[in-house]
Amino acid sequence: MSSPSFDVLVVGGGHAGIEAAAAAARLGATAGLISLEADAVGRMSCNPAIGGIGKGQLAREIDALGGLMGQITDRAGIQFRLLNTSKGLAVQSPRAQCDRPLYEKIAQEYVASQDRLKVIEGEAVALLWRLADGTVVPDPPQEGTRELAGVRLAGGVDLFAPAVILTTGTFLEGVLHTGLEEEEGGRMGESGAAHLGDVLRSLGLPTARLKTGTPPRLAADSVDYSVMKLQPGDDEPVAFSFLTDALAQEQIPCWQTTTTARTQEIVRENLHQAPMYAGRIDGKGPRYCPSLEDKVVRFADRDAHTIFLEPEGFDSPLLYANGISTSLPVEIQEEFVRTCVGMENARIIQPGYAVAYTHIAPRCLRRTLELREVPGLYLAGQICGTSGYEEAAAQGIMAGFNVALKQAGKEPFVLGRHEAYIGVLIDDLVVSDPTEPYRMFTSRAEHRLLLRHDNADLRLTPHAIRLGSACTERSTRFAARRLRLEQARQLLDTVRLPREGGGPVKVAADLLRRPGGAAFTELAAVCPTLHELGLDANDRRTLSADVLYEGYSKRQQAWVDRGSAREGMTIPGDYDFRALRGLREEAVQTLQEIRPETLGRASRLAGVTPADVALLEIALTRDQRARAKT
Amino acid sequence: MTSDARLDGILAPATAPGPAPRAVLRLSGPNLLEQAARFLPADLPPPQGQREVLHGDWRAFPGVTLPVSLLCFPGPHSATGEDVLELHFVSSAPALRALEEHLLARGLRYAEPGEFTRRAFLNQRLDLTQAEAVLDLVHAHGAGEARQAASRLQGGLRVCLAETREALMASLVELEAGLDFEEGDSQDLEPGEITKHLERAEKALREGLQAQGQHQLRSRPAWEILLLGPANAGKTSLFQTLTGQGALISSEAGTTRDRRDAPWQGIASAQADAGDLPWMLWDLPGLGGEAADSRDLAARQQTEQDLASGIPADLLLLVLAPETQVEELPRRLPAIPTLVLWSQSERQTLPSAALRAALAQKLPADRVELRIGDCGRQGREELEQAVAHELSRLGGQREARMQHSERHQAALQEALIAVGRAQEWVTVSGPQDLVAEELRQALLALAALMGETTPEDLLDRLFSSFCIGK
Repeated sequence: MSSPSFDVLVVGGGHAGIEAAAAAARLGATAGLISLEADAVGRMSCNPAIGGIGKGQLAREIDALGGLMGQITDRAGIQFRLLNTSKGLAVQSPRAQCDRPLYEKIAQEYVASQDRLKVIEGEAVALLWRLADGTVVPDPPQEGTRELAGVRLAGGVDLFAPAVILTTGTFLEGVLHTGLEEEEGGRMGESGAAHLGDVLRSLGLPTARLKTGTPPRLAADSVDYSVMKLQPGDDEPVAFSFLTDALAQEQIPCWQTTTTARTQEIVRENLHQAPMYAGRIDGKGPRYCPSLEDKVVRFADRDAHTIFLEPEGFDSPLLYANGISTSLPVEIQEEFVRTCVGMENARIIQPGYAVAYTHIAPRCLRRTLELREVPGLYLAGQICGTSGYEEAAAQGIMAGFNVALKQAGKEPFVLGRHEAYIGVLIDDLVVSDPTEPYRMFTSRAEHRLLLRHDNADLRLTPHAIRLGSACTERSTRFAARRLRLEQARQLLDTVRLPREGGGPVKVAADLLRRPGGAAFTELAAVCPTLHELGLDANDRRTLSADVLYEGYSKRQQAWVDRGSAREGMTIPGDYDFRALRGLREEAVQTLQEIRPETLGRASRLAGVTPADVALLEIALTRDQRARAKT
Repeated sequence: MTSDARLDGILAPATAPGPAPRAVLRLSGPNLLEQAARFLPADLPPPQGQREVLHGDWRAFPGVTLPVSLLCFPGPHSATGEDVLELHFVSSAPALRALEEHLLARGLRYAEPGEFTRRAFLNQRLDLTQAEAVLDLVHAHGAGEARQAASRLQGGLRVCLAETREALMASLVELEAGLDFEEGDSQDLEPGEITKHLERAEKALREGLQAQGQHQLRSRPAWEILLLGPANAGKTSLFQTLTGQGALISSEAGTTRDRRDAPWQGIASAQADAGDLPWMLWDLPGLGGEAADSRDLAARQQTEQDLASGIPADLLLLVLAPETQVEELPRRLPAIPTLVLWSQSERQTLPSAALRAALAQKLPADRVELRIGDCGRQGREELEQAVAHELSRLGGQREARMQHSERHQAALQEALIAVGRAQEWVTVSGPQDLVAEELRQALLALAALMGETTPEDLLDRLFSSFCIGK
């Protein structure tokens, strides 16, 4: 029997996995998506929401590149909110609560309808290697040529492909903790990937443990909403996908309540039963998503913490109790939950739990997400030490693109920090050694004024079109929107306002430059032809931001341009930093260890100063000139 | 015409701030002279693209006109290989700031650390060794070891930087917590502190600029040479001999109570070797031993303090008598080239082994030691030649040290401008992302002196201050 063969195999069907497989397939590669359960493909394992600050920008960038996340969210969303509207156009982010079962159902539809993409149910237990003599073996040979050849499934089925993308999420040697009870697995009730960890270590890849947690899920009919604060969706909801015209669904609200002093007491009394505090979990958890145990310990003087009760779907009987992630024993969870405001009779349907899992140090990766030492093997998502659906999906789509591009013999696709949050994410990852799961924040992006959610398409869709990742509809819509924006901008820059006394001549665009900006009705009054362009809400947002932030964008752009020549200067792989006189010892050590590929990356390393970079640039230029002469 | 071409010009003040006869603002960029009309104040004469000196009057403020000289050095035969333009005018902090702001608003920008040097190298005006020497010093003084670097900065400036960074970080953390977490998600925020933090940052920056000015010995250029030694080792009589300046000399230790300076007319050949700059000799109050009175004590403490915070000088002459005691040696020597002068050579006494050993710990093995006698009249020629030799080796470093002080100045100015713009946005309730952007610019400017503030620093601080996240 001949075994099936693909251009790429993706291990794991979560948010990274589906974007990776679909992206590779859109670019023409044949992709096999291996999942422990075909029904679990696209599952939201933690909170049923997409987006949020920083993450919303990532989700829209994924969409602008032709990815799935935005379209799925727009169809599965039950509540849409634009966050940070009062704080500035550059830091606004969309967020959507989703119907959990619907989300995975729609995700599976997209996966099923993608040409060249096949879902394979099974557990990956080993990687396959082709030796110099053509034979294929499951264990990586320690010496001689080894070429990645595929994946072996439990039960002995071999699948062949020259490239593999691992997106194992929390499943890689996952251990679930509820109280002091432990169970192997990646999600409550689902088994984990236990064997792959050994495979990766045998390849010499450095691994470490991280942990994350989830809160209990409550019966929706067991809480008293009358004492809670209503959190409705936006009246004019913002869609994630640039392909979505309008969000037609009815929205349902979330609810806000708090813990009480008694809740804190119960948690404090039972800390010895919390796996983190009892020393049972070695991995480090995130600071930005602290468990209730962490909150109680670190902020002992507070007597209440906020809880958001998020419906899990249109018809779901479940509420996700966001804010009280915990790994205390079930009976303690029952006890403390009932001390929260309006939750006196709450029933827990699924208790909260913590999961500890293995990840690979992402400094082993190239910016294409291919492992430097293992050609053909790519990583994406939590296995790289990140947290979050959006971060995972962003890596997935980039790994998928790069696998397909490499096999087609084309240039890799790497985004710069000034182009996309995705660029910031990957650039940060490949020089880091995360001690907690990496989550996107807008403060990580030094060019965040350029990286707005509303202009993700203007920044990235041209790339998608060039790569072949944009469908015809996306290309057409994009061209039309760009034209609308150009025409509108021209109009705003040329229509003069009535002069006030002897003041300078002003144009319509100047109305948008005032702090707070002008309402579009005001613009329409001075530019009667503006409405003929048919600007939609996102166009208006883009125009306002482009005008208001113009000076700053130019400054950031100038900074980027100035840096780009230096940024791209390559450092030879075998460069001897020790031989460079004047470089400080700390810089030498860091550079020898990380071996940045470009001067730009060298400049972002902790321990490398601007003067070190200037010196390195001078030396590299000298070497280039010397080579040019000979 | 190239009027649409992007201006790639950089600027930095080339003189120390504070009262001085003149301030110099140095500009460099490709085709800078050709494009001068785009950025120079309209009332100044336009450069013609040749090597020339032009004079004009600049209306700096309503009713205030300053004479400005323009020194034009067309590339490639200039210091950086590009067009270099120097603007010389009366040193006045407001005028300097106004001129910088005028230029910055028209597309020029502040030079990065070592950027004049980098441009000079890339245009083959410097070779690698020279460039390395310059950058070495840029390192050592500024961009170097992040926080440790701060300890090498001059006292007043160090305090200003620490204070400014603290105030900027405090406001930025507060802003970022609000920007990166939605309301209800961030629970400990008490906004409204930002205005106070910004005022604190502004005040600290202004004080830092002042401190920067006061710590300069004078406006350059001259070689600065320090005389240092235990009380009564003979340095004051040496000072008098070398400079020809009278001074109160007595054999009572601690006679020199105040620092004094005077030109040292070295023999002509020696001066020529050292690049034809005048030599200025500084006499610092003596060290060690018993202080004669409280004023004397204060003077000595001041000297120790100045040594600790780093005196901007080029060369140190350490004057020792054979009978100098180990405990009379300065506790700390500035990290600049040093010559050891054994005074009273006519007495034929030899220094103790203990003193020699102590000296070996403080100075490198290849140090130059000279013997002088008769209050400096014996051995003077050898001394001047040794000094000239040391100074000629310092050519590149001297340039670097000037850059270093220019950079301090420029960084503080840039931070101050950014803080001012942040304050404007806060006043008009502008978008918080733009306030944050200005604060980041200010921190970025300081990064050249103190090391970078990374997003990770910010997040660390944010998470330790606030209970945040779901």
